[in-house]
Amino acid sequence: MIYNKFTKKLAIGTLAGILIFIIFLSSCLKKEDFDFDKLVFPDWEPNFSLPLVHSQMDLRKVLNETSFGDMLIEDANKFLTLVYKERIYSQKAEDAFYINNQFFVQNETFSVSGSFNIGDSSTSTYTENMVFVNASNNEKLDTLYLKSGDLNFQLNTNLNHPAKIRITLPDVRKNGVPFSTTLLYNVGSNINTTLDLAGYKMVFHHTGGINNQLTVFYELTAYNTSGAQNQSPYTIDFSTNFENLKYSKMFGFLNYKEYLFPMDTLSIGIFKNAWFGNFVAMDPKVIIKITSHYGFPLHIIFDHLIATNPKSLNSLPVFGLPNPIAISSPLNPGDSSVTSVTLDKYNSNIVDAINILPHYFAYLFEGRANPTGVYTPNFALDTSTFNVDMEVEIPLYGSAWDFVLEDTVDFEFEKIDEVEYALFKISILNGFPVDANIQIYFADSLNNVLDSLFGGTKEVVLAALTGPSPEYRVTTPQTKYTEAYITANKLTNITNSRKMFIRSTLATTNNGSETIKIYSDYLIDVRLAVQAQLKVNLNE
Amino acid sequence: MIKILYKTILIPTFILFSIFVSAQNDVSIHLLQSVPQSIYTNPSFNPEAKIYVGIPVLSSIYFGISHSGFAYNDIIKRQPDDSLYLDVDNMLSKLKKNNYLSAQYNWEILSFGFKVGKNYFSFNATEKISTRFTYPEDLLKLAWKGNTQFIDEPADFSGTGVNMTHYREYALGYNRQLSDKLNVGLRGKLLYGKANVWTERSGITLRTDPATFDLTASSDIVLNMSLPQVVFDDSLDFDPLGYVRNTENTGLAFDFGASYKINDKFTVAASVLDIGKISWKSNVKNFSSENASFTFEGIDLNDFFNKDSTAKDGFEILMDTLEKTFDFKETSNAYSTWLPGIVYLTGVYNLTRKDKIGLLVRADIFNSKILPSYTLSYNKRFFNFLSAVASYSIMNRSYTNIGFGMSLQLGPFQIYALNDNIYGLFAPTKSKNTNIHFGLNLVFGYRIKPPEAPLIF
Repeated sequence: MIYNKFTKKLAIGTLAGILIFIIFLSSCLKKEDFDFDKLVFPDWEPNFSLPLVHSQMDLRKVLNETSFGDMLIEDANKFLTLVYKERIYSQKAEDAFYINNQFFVQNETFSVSGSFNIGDSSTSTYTENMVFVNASNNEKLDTLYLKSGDLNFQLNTNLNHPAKIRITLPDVRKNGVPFSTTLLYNVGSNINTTLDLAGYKMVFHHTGGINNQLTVFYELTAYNTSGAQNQSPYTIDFSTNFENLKYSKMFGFLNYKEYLFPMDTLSIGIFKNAWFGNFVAMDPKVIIKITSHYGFPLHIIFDHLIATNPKSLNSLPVFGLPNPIAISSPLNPGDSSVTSVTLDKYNSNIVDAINILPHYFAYLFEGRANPTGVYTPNFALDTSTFNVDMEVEIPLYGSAWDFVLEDTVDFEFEKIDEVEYALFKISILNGFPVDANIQIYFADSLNNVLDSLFGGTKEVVLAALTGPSPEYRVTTPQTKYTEAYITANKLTNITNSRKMFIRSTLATTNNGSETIKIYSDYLIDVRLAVQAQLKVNLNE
Repeated sequence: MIKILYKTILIPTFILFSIFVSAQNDVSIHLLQSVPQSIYTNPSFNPEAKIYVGIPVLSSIYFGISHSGFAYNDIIKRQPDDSLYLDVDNMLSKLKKNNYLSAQYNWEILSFGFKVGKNYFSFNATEKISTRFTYPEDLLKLAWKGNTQFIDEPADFSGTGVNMTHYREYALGYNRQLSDKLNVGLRGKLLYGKANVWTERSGITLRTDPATFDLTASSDIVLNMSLPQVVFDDSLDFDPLGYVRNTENTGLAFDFGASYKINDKFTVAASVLDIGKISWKSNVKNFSSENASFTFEGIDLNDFFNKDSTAKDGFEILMDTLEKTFDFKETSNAYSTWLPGIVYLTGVYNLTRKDKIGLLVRADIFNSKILPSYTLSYNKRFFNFLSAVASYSIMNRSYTNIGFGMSLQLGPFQIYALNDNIYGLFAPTKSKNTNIHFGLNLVFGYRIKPPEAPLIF
C-alpha cells in the first residue's frame, strides 16, 4: 500500500518532470544561437617559440655571404690567405702595333717608237720602290706575315690601244713565289681591281737610308688591233694601294713607345666596411706580375701605388717597387716571359699600408717599349699580349683590436601588427679566435637614429682560445648567449626606419694581445630563435 | 592568411565538433525489458514474449553520436546583445587529454526468438557501423595558444586517430534458467567485415627545447585500412553489391551474461559483450611511420643562400628531409581488430509489480581504455500494454543526461522508442551526446511477470 502510493507519486512526478524538462529544453533552442553572421571572434593570442636559423659556417661561407668577392686560398696545413687579384692592364699586339693603309701613285708615260701597224705590239717596263710610311709607331719593318690584306690596283691612261699590264712584287711571296698578276686594259675603261694578299709574306728592304721599302715591277704591252693612230706619248698612272693589312707575325724594330694608363684601383673587400681600428697582418704582400709575349724589351714605371682608406681619410704611398721594372722578353715568337715583383715586409712598407685598413690600392703606371730606342730585333704575333696583374695577399696571421666594421643597409620593414613582442635568442659557438661586439641602429632616411637592437653594444661572439705558436691553433671554442627583446614600441621604431647601421667591433683573442692564425676548418655555429607573442584580431 | 586559416578551417571544426553531441551508450534498451532486443545487452535476459519476430529492417534501428570534449554552448556563447561569441578558452577548459568524437549506427535486418522450456533461443542479423575520431587536448591548445606553453614538457598528440568499422553480425543467442535465482546466457556472433580504418598506433609528440626552441617531432604511427578498392583506385567504380556481399573479412565474437536474484525484491545482472575480433584481408593497406623523429633547428643559411641556382634552397631541403623522415611505408598485410568490448553491471529493485528502480554501470573498453557511464533508472508499466523507463546518466563527462523510453503493445505488434539523453535531442547546443533507438516487433505469448518472478526486471 505504501509502495503503491509512493510509486504512483514517483511515476507522476517522473512524467511531469520529463514533460517540464522537454518544454524547458525546447525553449532553450533558439535560432539566434546559430546566427553566425553575428559571431564575434576573440583575439587570437598565441605565443610561439621557434628556431629560425642554425648554421655552421667556415670563413669561406662567411665571406661569400658578405659578397666581398674575396678569394681564400689555403695551404697544406689549411692556413688561409686572403687574395685580392686583378688584371690591371692587358694589351694585344695587333691593337698596339698595326699597319696603316699605304697609298702609292706612279705617273709614267708610254711611247711607241716607229710605225705601229695593225697587228703590232709594244712593251714597256717600270720599276718602283714603295716606302711604307706612317705605320703606328714608325716601326722598322723587316718581315710581315699577312693573315689578311688587300692590294688595290688602279690604272688611268689615255692609251687608245688595248693592253696587258703585269704587276710583280718580288718581295711579296707566298710559298716562295712572288706576287704577280696580269690585268687587261680595254680602250676607254680604266682598271680598278682589288687583289687578296692573305698568306703572303712581305720582306722589306732598307737601302739608301730609307726603311720599309718594297719593289714593284709593272710591264705594259699595248696591241694595235684596230689600226688606231699612234698618239704617243701616252700617260700612264699606276696607283698601288695596300689596305687592311693584318699580320700574323711581325719582325723588325717596333721602336720606342710609351703607354700611359689611367689611374685605377684594386679593391680590398675585407676592409670595405672597415671604419677604424688596429689590424696587424704579419706577412702581407703585393705582387706585380707582368706577362709578355712581345719580342722586345719593356719597362714598367709605377708613378703611384697608394693604400687608401676613404672612411678614415687615411692614405699611405707604398714604396719598395723597383722603378722602372724591367720586363724580360721571350726569345721565340709564341713564347711568353713572366716578370714578377713582390713587395713584402722586408722590402716595403706594405705592413703599414695594410694597417690603415685600405679599402683599395690606387695605382698609376706607364709602360715603355724598346726603352733605349736602340735597334734590336723585335717580333710580335697578332695574338701576343702584354698583361699586368696585381695581387694583394693578406695571410690571416696577425692580430686586431678595436677593429670597427660598419655597414649601412637600406631597410624597409613591414610591421607585423600582430606581434606584441618578440624575444630573439642568439647562441653562437665560435671556433674563430675573434671577439665581436655588435650593435644595430635603425635610422630614418635622414640618418636620424630611431632605435637600436640592443640597449648597448653587445658582445655576441666570444673569441675561441688558442694554442701556442707557431700554429696558434684554436683549442677551445667559446659559446655566447645573447637575447634581444623587441617590444611593440621598438617594432614601431623599426617600422619607421629606412636604414640600418650595422656596427661590429672585432678583436682577436684577449683583445688583440695575442697573435692568431685562421684556418679553413674553423667554424662558427650560429643559432637564432624567437619567442613571439601575437595578438590577431580575427574580426577584421 | 592566419586569419583565413582560423576562420575557415579551425574554428568551423571546433563548432562542428561541438554540434556532434551525444552518446552511443544505448543504456535504455538494457532497462526496458519489454523489448526483446534488450537481450542484446545481456544474453541472460528472458524476453517477456515467448516468441518474437522482428519486422525485417524495422525491428531495431539505432543511431547515436557523442563527443566527450565540449558542447556547442561551451564554445559559442550568446551575449546580451544577441551576438555570438566564440569562447575558445572555455572550450579548451572542457577538454581532457584525449577526446572522442564518435557515431554508431546499428540496423537490424532480421531477428527472432522463442522460448523452449527453460531455454530461450534468439537470432539476429544486424549491420553495424561505428566511427570514432580521437583528438588530443594538446593539439587544440597548440593551435590556439602556441607552443611556448609546451616548453617544459612536450605536447602529446598520442592517441590521435580514426577508427571506423562496418560489419555484419549474425548472432545466435541462448539462455537458460539454471535455477530459481540464476539465469545465464551466451551469444555467438559470426562477423563479416565490410570496411575498416584502424589507427593501430599514433604516438606523436612535439617537443620544444627550452634553450634553443628547437622543435622535435616524433611519431610512431601505424594505420590499417580495409576499404573498397575504389578508395585506392580512382579509375574504378564503386560496386555496392560487391561491397555488401564481401565475406573475406571474417570474425567471431561472443556475449556472456548472467542474472542473479538475491531476494524477491533485488536482482543483479552482469554481461560482457563483443568479446571477439575480425580479421581483415580484403583490399588491405597498411601505412606506417615507425619511430620517426625530426628536429628542426632553424634554416641553414648555407642552404638558403646557396649560390648554385640548380641546387635546392633551404626550404626545399627542409621539406625533403621531413618527407624522408616521416615517409609512410605502405604494405598490404592482413590484420585483426578487436571489437570494442562492453560491460554491463546492473542492480534492480522491484518497488511494486509494475515499478522498479535500477542502477546500471556500463563500461566501454576502447583502445585499452575504460570509458564508464552510470545510470539511475525508473521503470513503470502502465496497464498491460505500455512500459516506460526514465533514466539519469552520467556519461561522456556529461551530467545532464535524462533518458526516456517506452514500448507500446498493440496486439502482436510492439513498437518502441528509446533515448538516453532527451537533452541532446531538444537542446543539442548544450549537450554532448544523444541517441535514438526504435523498432517494430511481432511478439507472441507476451506476459507481465509477477514481481516475485526471478531474474527479470
